[in-house]
Amino acid sequence: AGAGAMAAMLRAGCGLARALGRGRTLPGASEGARRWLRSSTPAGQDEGAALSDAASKEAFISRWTEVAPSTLPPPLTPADIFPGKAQAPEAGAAVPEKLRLNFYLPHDVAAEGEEVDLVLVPAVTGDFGVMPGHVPTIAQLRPGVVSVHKELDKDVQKWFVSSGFAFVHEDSSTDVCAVEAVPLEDLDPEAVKAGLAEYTAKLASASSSGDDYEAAAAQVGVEVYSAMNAALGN
Amino acid sequence: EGRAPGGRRQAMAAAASGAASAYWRVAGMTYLKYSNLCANMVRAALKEPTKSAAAAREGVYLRASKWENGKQGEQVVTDLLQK
Repeated sequence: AGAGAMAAMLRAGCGLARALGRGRTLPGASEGARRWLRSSTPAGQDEGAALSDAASKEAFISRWTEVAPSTLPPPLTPADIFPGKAQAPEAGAAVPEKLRLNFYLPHDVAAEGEEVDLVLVPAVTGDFGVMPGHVPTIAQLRPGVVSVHKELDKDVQKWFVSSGFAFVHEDSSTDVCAVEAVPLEDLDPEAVKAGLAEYTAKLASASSSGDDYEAAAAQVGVEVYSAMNAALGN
Repeated sequence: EGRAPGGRRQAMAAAASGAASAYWRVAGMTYLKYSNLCANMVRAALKEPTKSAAAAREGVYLRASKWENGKQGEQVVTDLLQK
């Protein structure tokens, strides 16, 4: 009964408040309802329309805490959960000092929001390095080494990446997404040499037998294992 | 192991439009299969403690069975990365 009465009051109140002007409320309404009515006047609504996302979220939370029970935390908004969408920088804004790197794997997060100087990625069209101010790019990665220079040439982390994509955005944030990324120390040199020999032999036999699919699978093996071999310095 | 008629169709469409296709696409492999094949090969070349931890990520398959009158029917395993 209370909720129905409140809703009816709100409906009536909105109309009345518009007619009466700001600050005039219904007699007998609770303090929360009165504050709600005051804020839903045309003046309050126009203000809301002009606010940006962060400001409107703060305005919502401040109004919410006025009427919410003290034990209930405010609700989360998508901005709290997801990393911000890349915004284009204003024309003439300075290039940021550091690159923001996100390195995602299906099962893990290798880096999130890390401030780095340079990221070298092995793209299908050739290796390239991403520094702050790089042109926005989408690059398909081939099996190879991703080097992250937290400090140029001083603090370098290397991962061998099986394949994936790299995205460079307008605000100098970079997303590298790979299926498998392993630190170079985790690669077994003996297994790499053996695998390379095995797939080279398979490629020879499959291409001679004319089986396209098997030849392609063997060629994938040669590509991946020779990249691992090169990464280990052979 | 398997052929992908979809993969071949895509390769032929790309060739018709003048774009060069990757060798695996031309042979009938889809990008998903190529990408997961590369990942499997990298996992196979790992050193021991990381290797067993990574083995859990290897198999991707679907196992389904029909239920009738409260009894489970035959289980059918589908390999999701056939092509």
